[in-house]
Amino acid sequence: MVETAVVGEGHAQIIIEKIKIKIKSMVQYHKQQLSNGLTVIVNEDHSTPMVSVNILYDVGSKDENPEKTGFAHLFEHLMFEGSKNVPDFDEALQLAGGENNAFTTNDITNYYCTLPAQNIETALWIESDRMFALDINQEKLDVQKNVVIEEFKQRYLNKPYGDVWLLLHPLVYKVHPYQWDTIGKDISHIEKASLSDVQNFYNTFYTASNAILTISGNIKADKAFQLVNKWFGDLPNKSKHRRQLPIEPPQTEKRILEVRRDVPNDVLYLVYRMTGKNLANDKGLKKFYTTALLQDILSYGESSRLHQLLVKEKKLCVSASAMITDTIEDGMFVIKAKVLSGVSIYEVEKVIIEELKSIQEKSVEEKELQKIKNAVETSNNIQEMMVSAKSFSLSYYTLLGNTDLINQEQEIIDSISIKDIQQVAQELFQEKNTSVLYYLRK
Amino acid sequence: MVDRSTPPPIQSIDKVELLPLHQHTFTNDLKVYYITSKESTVIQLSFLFKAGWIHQSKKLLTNAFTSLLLNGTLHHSAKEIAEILEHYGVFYNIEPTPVYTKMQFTFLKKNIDAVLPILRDIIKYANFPQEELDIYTKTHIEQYQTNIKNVAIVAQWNYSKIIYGDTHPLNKLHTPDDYLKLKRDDLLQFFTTHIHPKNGFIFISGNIDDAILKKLEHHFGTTDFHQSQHTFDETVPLPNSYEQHIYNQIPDALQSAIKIGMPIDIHSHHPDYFDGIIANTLLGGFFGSRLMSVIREEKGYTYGIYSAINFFNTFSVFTVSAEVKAEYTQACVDEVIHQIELLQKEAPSEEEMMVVKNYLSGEILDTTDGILKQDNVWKAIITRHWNQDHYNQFLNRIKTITPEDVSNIFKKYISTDKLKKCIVGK
Repeated sequence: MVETAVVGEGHAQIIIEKIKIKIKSMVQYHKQQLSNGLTVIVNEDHSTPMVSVNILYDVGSKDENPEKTGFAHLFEHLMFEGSKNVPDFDEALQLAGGENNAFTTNDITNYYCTLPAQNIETALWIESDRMFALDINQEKLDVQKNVVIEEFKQRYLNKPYGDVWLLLHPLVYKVHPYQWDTIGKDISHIEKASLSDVQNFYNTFYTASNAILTISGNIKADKAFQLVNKWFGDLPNKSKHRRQLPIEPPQTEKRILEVRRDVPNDVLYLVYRMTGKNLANDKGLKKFYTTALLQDILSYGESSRLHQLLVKEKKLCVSASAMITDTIEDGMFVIKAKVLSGVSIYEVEKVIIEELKSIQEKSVEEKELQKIKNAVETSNNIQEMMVSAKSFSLSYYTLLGNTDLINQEQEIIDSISIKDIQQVAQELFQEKNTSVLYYLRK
Repeated sequence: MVDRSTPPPIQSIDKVELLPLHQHTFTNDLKVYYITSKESTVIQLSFLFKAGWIHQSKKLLTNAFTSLLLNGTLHHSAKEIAEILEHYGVFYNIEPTPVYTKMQFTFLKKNIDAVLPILRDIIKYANFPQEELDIYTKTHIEQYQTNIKNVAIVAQWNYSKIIYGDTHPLNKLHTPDDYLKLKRDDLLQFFTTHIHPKNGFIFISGNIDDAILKKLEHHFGTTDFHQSQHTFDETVPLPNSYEQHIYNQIPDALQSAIKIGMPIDIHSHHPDYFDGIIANTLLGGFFGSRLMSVIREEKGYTYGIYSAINFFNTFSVFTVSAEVKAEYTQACVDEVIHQIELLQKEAPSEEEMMVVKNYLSGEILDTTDGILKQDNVWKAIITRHWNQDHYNQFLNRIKTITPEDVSNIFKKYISTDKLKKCIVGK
């Protein structure tokens, strides 16, 4: 079946048709587990002179004590402060021509190095050393506390609208540790962090069995496994930390928060609690991807629904978008609308809710869904050319419980219909599932 | 047990290899450059025209031009264009630079026949509808109100004014009034005078064959494209500012944004070009730099501090930037100046040089990682008129440069009493 639509007039007619030919590309990988519990994945890519080494630790801000929040992220900073045999982590890697960075989320802490393939051993040496014997002292801790406090101010407090996420997390979660942002609830939590807290955190979470190491790049798999074994093989086997997180009960009524700040425009945040990237069953995963596609239909690109409706047609907003928090457990589906001055924020809310209702009643158009599927396909093809993107995805999907999701994702997405979208919209956009933040100007 | 106390051996990087550059000229004189790799499923198609900030007749014109270029043609509305490009999974980015407007479209090769007609329509028949300009003006004036509360943005705008001077096209300081002065006719005129075959080129990367070149010729290589003989100049005007300092107080700021720097003579073809990059990297160009080590890692004043040299074809601008704890503003400024003076007085150690050299060599190798990164490298070589072997020359200079050469760069080009300072916050 070919669906055609003639757009515009004149000689430059454009035919939109469903794209039927599908390029089936696969990311090949090998997986092993060392006797100390370290999971190792290798993807050979000989089209690049580089190699990427990604280590994901199964610890995020959700594993923090509610009285000591911001800890996973503070700890990420300390991981760069030197270990027993590598006093300066960055310098050792830079000497090998490499670069590295790390990030912390609610769920994970992820470290990655990219360097010339011939120098891969340097990355394995320094990564294994900081997993084996991190060297922390009071002085280093004090400096990194200061750096993190400045990061807190720079990104969350000293920018217009910077504290939005500090408000949204506790509005949506009452019990679950997603109720604080990765930076922490409050600067005072970071100020109070002690050396023994830090040491305990390291001993509990920074073990071989709690980590997934992926190598992607210009190296043969057997060589890569041999080198990983050389540097990580003799690390002790400690049992993996078992987490027991409180379960967030279902939301039963609409929540409203209003704040006034010294900002130029009112901004509306409509938040719906959504399913996480949960692999417990296939249905859960498909539901997650369906919700993600719905978010893209609302928000991806200039032709998206929210931009067209609120910025272009009705001219009520400076900008309008949607995003999801992409968490493992129940996440947030956030619609954000920055309201033009002189326009009522409540009017904008009404227009958005009507739009969501129409999706619940009539779903979306076939071609809107196809557009998003095509964008995902381009993006997957581009990511397959980037070793750092591949090495992270392989680690992350392994944590979720299915490494091969890197190859199955497109298939799951292609199987989603407009009926699925409608069904998810009906479940998601319910009044009792809503949290509203009115971020108003003074 | 593996011996952890001995670092693994490191191999140096002697040479980088790029995919060969091919060139072809269409009958209307439009040049097309391309690099090709059989394995690539993705195509990246770029149009580069000399339509940059230095060519604009009004403030913000190039910014509005690039923002609105895809927002309507003779045959299609903004919405239709977005729908078509987004339907075929095209990622696009239109951005202004000092000399060029860069339009970049990335998509799957299998979609090329659907994508090229709409790109032709944009490149030849963009018509900047009044309604789209009105929306642009209105939303940007509103966005302006948010921007002026952001210390980093305000610092950047004011800094560009004291560096380049009031009337210079790279002075980014503006007011909401400047948006209101933009007229549809300005955009149309900018379009017809600058977007024509003799004033730019096409760059395409991917699995490129004759069939693709024929398609490009069909859409862009024929004589119905704007005909003009005028090729615009690429010379960036010299800075012309006597202002030394701007201090913008924001009473309840938690942090101050600091920018310190000055124009220097090293342009993009200057004999000291490579040395300038290497010297700047050592001072503040990467995570292991002096400024980062002292001001973030030792003193904890800031989350990050960086220095950069922004090169043009006639001069360059050296800048140190940071957002710092408000009470340490002056201490941070003093420390930056102190670190520059230290480098003027004393050459860095061989060990410190080794880290910078190896780091930079790795960075150069990384620019050749995959065809999409090489696409960027080649576009830089073409627009900057560098030698094809530019990056290998850079690697060679990295091998031979001495600590004294680095110290000399700071002595020769930077006088700490001439550094301009822009501080926004407390």
